[in-house]
Amino acid sequence: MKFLLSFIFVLSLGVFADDGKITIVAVGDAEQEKDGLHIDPFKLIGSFKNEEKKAIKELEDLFFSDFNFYRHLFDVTNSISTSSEDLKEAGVKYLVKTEVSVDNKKLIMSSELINNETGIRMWAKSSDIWVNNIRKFGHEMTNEIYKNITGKDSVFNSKIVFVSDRTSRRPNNYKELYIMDFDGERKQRITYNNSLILAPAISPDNSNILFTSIESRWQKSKDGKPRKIQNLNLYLYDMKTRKQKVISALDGINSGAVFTEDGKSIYLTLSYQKNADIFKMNLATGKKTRVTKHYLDDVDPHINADGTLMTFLSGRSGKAMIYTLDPRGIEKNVKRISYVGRFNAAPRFSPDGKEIVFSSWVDNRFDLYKIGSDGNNLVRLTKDFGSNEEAWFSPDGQFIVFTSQKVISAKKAVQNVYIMNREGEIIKQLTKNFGKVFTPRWSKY
Amino acid sequence: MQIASQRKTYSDAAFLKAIGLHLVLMLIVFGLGKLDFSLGPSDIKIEETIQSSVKVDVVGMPKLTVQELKEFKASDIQKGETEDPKAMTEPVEEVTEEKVDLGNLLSNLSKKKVIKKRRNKKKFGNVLSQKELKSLVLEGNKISSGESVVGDSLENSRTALGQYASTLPSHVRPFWKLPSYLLNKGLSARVRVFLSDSGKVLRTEILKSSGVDDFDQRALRAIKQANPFPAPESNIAKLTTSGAIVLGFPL
Repeated sequence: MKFLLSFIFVLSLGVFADDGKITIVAVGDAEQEKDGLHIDPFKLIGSFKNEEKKAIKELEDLFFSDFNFYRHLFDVTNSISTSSEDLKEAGVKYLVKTEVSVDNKKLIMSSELINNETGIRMWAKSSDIWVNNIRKFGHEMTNEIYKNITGKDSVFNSKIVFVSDRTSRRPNNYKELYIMDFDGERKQRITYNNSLILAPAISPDNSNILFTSIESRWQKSKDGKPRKIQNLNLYLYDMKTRKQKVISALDGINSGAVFTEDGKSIYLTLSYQKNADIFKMNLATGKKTRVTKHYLDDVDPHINADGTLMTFLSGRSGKAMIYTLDPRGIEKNVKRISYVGRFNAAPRFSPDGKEIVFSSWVDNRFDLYKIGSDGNNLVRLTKDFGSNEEAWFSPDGQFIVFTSQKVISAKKAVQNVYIMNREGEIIKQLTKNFGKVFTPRWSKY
Repeated sequence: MQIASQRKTYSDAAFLKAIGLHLVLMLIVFGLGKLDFSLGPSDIKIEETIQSSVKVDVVGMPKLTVQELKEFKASDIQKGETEDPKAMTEPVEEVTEEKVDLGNLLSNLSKKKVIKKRRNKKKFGNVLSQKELKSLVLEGNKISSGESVVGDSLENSRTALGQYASTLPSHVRPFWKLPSYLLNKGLSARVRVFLSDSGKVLRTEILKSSGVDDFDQRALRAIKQANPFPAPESNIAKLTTSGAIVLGFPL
C-alpha cells in the first residue's frame, strides 16, 4: 500500500516537473503590414477644355506619386477601375474615388476614401480645384486622405530649402537659397545676394529662414595694414516680407544656426573668442548664453524637440566625433556618442529625438549612418551611392533628405538632392541639372 | 500482548497519517496541475525567456546597410563547427533549476529557485564560423547570432529545448505582420504552442492576451502560416508536445 502510494506520488512529481516549466521565446517586433490602397481613375463628368484635362491628369498623377512615397506603408495601385470585390480579393483595404465636374466654369472635385473591407466611407470632400495652384491643392487633398488612414500628418504639405550654385559664373562663385515642394516640384529662388550662402535653417512656423553668408571685410592686420578677410555672417530671411537682416556678424564664424522649438531663440556656432563654441541667442534681445566651453572646436548644433538635448560635432577627442549635452547649462552632461569613423559630420535628430543621422568619411567618401541618441544601434544607411552628406529628417520622421555627389569624370561631378526612407531605401531624386546642390533642410508641416 | 496491540494501533495511526499527508500533498500537486497535467496560465513556471538577437560589437563603421542586413537571414548563417574552436569563448549556460523532491515542492510554493552555472562543452549550433566571423570583423562588424534574456549575450543558457525554441522566431517572423494602427502601441501577447514530434502545430493557446483581439488573432495567424515548424529532436518531443514553448509577440 505504502509502496503504491509513494510510486503514484513520485510519478506525479515527475510529470509536474516536465510540464510545469515553459520556455518563452520572443518572436520580436512585427513588420509593418502594407495596406493595399487603390486610387481609382478620376471620373470626369461634363466637357472639359484641354488645359483643364491636363490639370486633372496632373492631379491624378500627384495622388499616386504622393502615396507612393509611403511605399513602406502602402501597396499603391491606380491602373484600372475595377469592382470593389475584385479589389478586395487583390488585398486592397483603402479605395480612393474621385469625380471632377464643371459648375459655372469652376472645376469641382469630389473625393472619398472608402474602407474596402467594410465598405464604410471614411472621408469625403467636395471643393473647387485651385486651378492656379493645382499641386498645392492636390497635396492638401492627399494629406487629408493620409491623415484619415493613419491619424497623422503626411509630408505632402512640407517644403525643402536648399542651396545651389546654379547661378555661379566663373570667376564668381555664388550659392543662393532655393525652396521646393517635398517631392522636388515647384522650385523657387529665395535669395539674390550674389554671395556664398551656407547652412540654412527653417523656423518651426516656416516663416523665417536662417542662413550663413560668406562675406569679405577689411581688417587691420598686426602690422597695421588693412587686410581683406572673409567672415561667416548669420542672416534671418523673412518669408513674407522677403527681407533679410544680419543676426550676428562677430569676427570669425557666425554659422550653423538652428531654431529652438518655440522659434524665439537660436543655437549657433561663434568663434569670436578664437576657437569655435556653441551659444544660445535670443532673437529679440540678441543676448547670448554659452553652451559649450572647450579649447577645441565645437560646431554644428542640432536640438531635440523639447530642447533638453543637443547634438553637436566636436574635435575634443582628437577626431571629429558626435556628442550630446543638455543645452540648459554650460558643458552640462556632455556625452560622446560616436567612437568610430575617421571624420563624422552634420548630426541631426529625428523628430522624436531618439535617433541621430550623420555622415561619416569612409573609403574616401561620405556615407550616411544612424545612431540612437544614447549611442546605441549604429546602422549604415547608404552604400555604393556616391558621396552622401547633409542628412535631415522629414517632419514625420519617415524620410531623410540628403545630398549625393556622383563623379562623372576626372573633372566633373554632380551633386543632387535625394530622399530615402528611414531605413535607407532610396525613394526619389529631387534635383537634376540644377547646379551643385547643398544642405537640404526639411520644413515642419 | 497489550503493548503489541498499542504498537499496532500507533503504527496504524502513523500509517493513516502518512496516507493522509500524501493524499493532501497529491491533491495540492494535482490541484496545481489541474488534474490533467495541463497547466493553466497562472500556474506555469517560466524556465527561461529567450530573445533571438544578433550581437554586434562595433569595432568600426558598419559595412552592411540596413537594407543589406534585412536580407541577411538567420538561415543564411552556416551551422557547423568553427575552424578553431579554442579561439572561441565557450558559452556559459545559466540554468534555472527546481529540485524535484518533497522539500522543493514545499519551497516551490515560495518560488525559491536555485541558480547554477555550468560550462557547455558542446559544439555551437547556429553560430557563424570562425572564418565568417573574422571576415565580418575585418569588415567592421562582429556579428553572432544569439539568444538571451536581454538580447545581448551569447553566453546565456541554451538548453536543448531552448536551443530548439531559439530557432523558431526566424521561422515565425516572416509571417508576423501588423497594420500601422497596431504598431508601436506597446501591445504584447504570448501564445503557447503544442508541437508534434514532426513540428506540426497541434494546437495553440493564448497564454497572455494583448487585450486587443485583432492583435491576438494576427499572432495566431502568424503561427498558423508558419506551420509546420522545424521538427524537434526526439529528446524534447515530449516537451514540445505538452506545450513547453510559448511564443512572445513581440516578447
